[in-house]
Amino acid sequence: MTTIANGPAPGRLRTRRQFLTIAGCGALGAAGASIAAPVLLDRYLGDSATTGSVGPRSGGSTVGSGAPDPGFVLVSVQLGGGIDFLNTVVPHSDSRYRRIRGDGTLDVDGGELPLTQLDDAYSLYAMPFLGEQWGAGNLAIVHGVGWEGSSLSHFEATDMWEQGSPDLSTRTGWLGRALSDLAGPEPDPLIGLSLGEVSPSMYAAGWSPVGLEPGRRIPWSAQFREEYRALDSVIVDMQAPVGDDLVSLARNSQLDLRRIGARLGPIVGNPEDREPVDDETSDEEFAGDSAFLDQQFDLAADLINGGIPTRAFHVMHDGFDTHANQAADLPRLLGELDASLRRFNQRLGPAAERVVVATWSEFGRRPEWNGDGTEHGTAGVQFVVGPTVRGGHHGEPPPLDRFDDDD
Amino acid sequence: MPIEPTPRNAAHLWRRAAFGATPEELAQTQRNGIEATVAAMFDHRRAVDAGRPLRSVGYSAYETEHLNLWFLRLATTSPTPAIEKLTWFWHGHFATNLDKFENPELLHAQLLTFRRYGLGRFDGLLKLMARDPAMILWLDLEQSIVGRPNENYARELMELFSLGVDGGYNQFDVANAGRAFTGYTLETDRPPTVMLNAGLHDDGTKTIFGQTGRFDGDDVVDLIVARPECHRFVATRLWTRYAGTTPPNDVLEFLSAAFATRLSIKDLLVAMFTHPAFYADDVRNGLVAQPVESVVAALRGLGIEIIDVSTTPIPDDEDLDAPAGAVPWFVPIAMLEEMGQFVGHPPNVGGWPHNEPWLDATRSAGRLNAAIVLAEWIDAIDSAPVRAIRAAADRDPRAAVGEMFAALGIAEWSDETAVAIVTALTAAGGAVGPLPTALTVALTSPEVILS
Repeated sequence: MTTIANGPAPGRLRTRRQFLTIAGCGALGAAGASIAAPVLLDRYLGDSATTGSVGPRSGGSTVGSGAPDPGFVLVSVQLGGGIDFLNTVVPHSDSRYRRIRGDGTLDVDGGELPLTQLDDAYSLYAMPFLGEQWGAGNLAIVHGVGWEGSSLSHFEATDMWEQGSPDLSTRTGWLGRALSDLAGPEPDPLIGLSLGEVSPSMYAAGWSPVGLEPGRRIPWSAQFREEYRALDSVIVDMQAPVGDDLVSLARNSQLDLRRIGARLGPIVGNPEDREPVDDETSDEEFAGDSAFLDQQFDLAADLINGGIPTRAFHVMHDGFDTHANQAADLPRLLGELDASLRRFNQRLGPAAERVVVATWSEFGRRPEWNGDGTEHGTAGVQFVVGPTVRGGHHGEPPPLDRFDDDD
Repeated sequence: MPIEPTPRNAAHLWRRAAFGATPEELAQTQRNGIEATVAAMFDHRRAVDAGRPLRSVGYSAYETEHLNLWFLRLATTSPTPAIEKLTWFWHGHFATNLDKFENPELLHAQLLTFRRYGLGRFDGLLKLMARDPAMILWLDLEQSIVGRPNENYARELMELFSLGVDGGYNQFDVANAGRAFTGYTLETDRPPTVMLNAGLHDDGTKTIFGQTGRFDGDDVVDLIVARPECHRFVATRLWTRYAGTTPPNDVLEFLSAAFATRLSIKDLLVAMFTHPAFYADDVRNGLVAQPVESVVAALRGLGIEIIDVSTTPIPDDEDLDAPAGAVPWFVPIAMLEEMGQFVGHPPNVGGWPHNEPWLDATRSAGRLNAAIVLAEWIDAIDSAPVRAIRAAADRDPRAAVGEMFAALGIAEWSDETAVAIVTALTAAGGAVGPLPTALTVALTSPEVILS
């Protein structure tokens, strides 16, 4: 059993299987495979919210005394495309690594690559901040994440991750189900926010997730309401239809926007007023990607520090589908993630105490090098990082001398 | 049995198959019938030349603006808007993002391929895709050579372009198809072309769907299009994106059969738009318009002209001095930017999302902001539809509601929306005038948000 969460009330932890049952996931884990994110939610959303007994440590809250426990916050980072675990958490002492990875092997002894040695067995590639977090005991690395029989389709595998369902039978997202349990009958629509470009179906449950893309102007600030007074009164007077048909959803999309826009506006502000994001960490031609990741984390930090009661954020970092050009693209992508996490940590300040970041990727990549990159494979890797995480290795690494068919 | 050419059926057809109709086009459809209208819509002999190639001065955001303005102008002025809508459909189907190769001209060439061949045989279109410079750069095909094949193109060809994820293939088929698609190399002449380089092609035997031979990419396409999974997948995809709903089983069987006979996309489109199920209530209320579609419908309906980038340079700065009676060149670009959709920039190879995601907070904010961007200019526009709206608003706010929806090609609307527009036209307050406020309400109503 893999249990990652660590905190003041370890005895309260439910097992993974219990959580999966609660969230309606069904058992996803197959031999040698695990899905780690639900373990976290059990601890970080479920328990603290229902009992209040697992609040932030001192200094962890920006809410004044007497305010309700703001609870833990999960930041789910999607590493889109399927991450290559072998060149990310490098098994440097395993002689089979060089044999199977061939020309794609990272030179761990040359001293020229940005590798952080974690222990006798593993080095971390291009992620110095996560290396520091490992040293501080704040980084959990989950090995061998995946399931048997994956079709290796980006879209189907992503749907399975988001639903937490191996047969796609639930049609709702596991995070949405967990948040619905947490939120009660009248959920705050801002309890779950999707910051990437595509709203993940991970949330979809009884209520619609709020997708909030950085760099977007959110209307209905006080100034906007003054300028558009007539429009405001028309919208405010309109009856909200009940129903989940598209006509009702379309009407409500504008009525809901009026309500949440007034709350988000002061925090999000105008995109042109937000401080520019530093592009230096990225390859020039891909500067947009790095900036977009920073913007998502900045927005999450500002919303957390601004008192918005969001309990789960989705952040998108795309481009891990390294069929070609992996030698250049993978370290860039990992470096961007690492730099953004460092920036996020700094921007959060004391609130970092109650934030956990968990990465996931729809699948891993095959160990063989195709000459310029790697193909879709079953087993991937997950990182879970935060001050309350029990650091270390979790799960079982896939054995390098025995693979599933085609993995 | 023919579909009755009522005003609501005629308006529904035009909004889905194209970008909405003018009152004259609706009247014509009511006279000629749905079937004759569909036949004329997809008559490629009526299509006009799509304009000269885009200037290529290297990549910049500026060039993406050229590409988008070119498409918006084509879609708003074309005598065959259904063919332009189909071009847009194929762009979402073979979703290629020019960020990867940074050359809008290659994407422009791909769109012209869709426009020229998108009504024809599906196998022909698939074979052209493996020879399309934008596509092979996008899915790493030009890096796939004998001895080190990569599977990216072969997998997406089966999963997203032709068979679907449950389309009866497995990882073994993908790997073998990956070997068949080796040696497609890019010649960087002007214009760039794709050559099958025999020296880089794996000419060994492959086994795909249980059949063995020395297959190349075209052979793989022939194996794919012979499969019933392909016929059902293509029929489902077109129905989903044009009707919005999941196709009922009997409809799916009918459409698959219509398509399978000749692998003709035109046969499939005609069968779909003349099927009674396409005019059922669930379909009528079953599709959220994508931003590009909404912008084309609004600009076309309100008679707003878009700058011709093949003859007119884009002004250097955001010049606020609009030509008399028109809107500045950047208004449609600003609308697309607000709504988060640009031609040439799908989020991934799966294309743009469908329905509900377009109603989330970011997209709803974008829709409102885009409506405001356009509505702010309404008082300055001197087109026939806007003059009619203005005259009606001076006379009777209720009549203005009818004129607005007539311009947008919408035949029916709810009382609640009508009341909101009338209130906006009669309410005082704020810095924004009644007509822009009323147009903003109309452009963010369910009637306009749904296609």
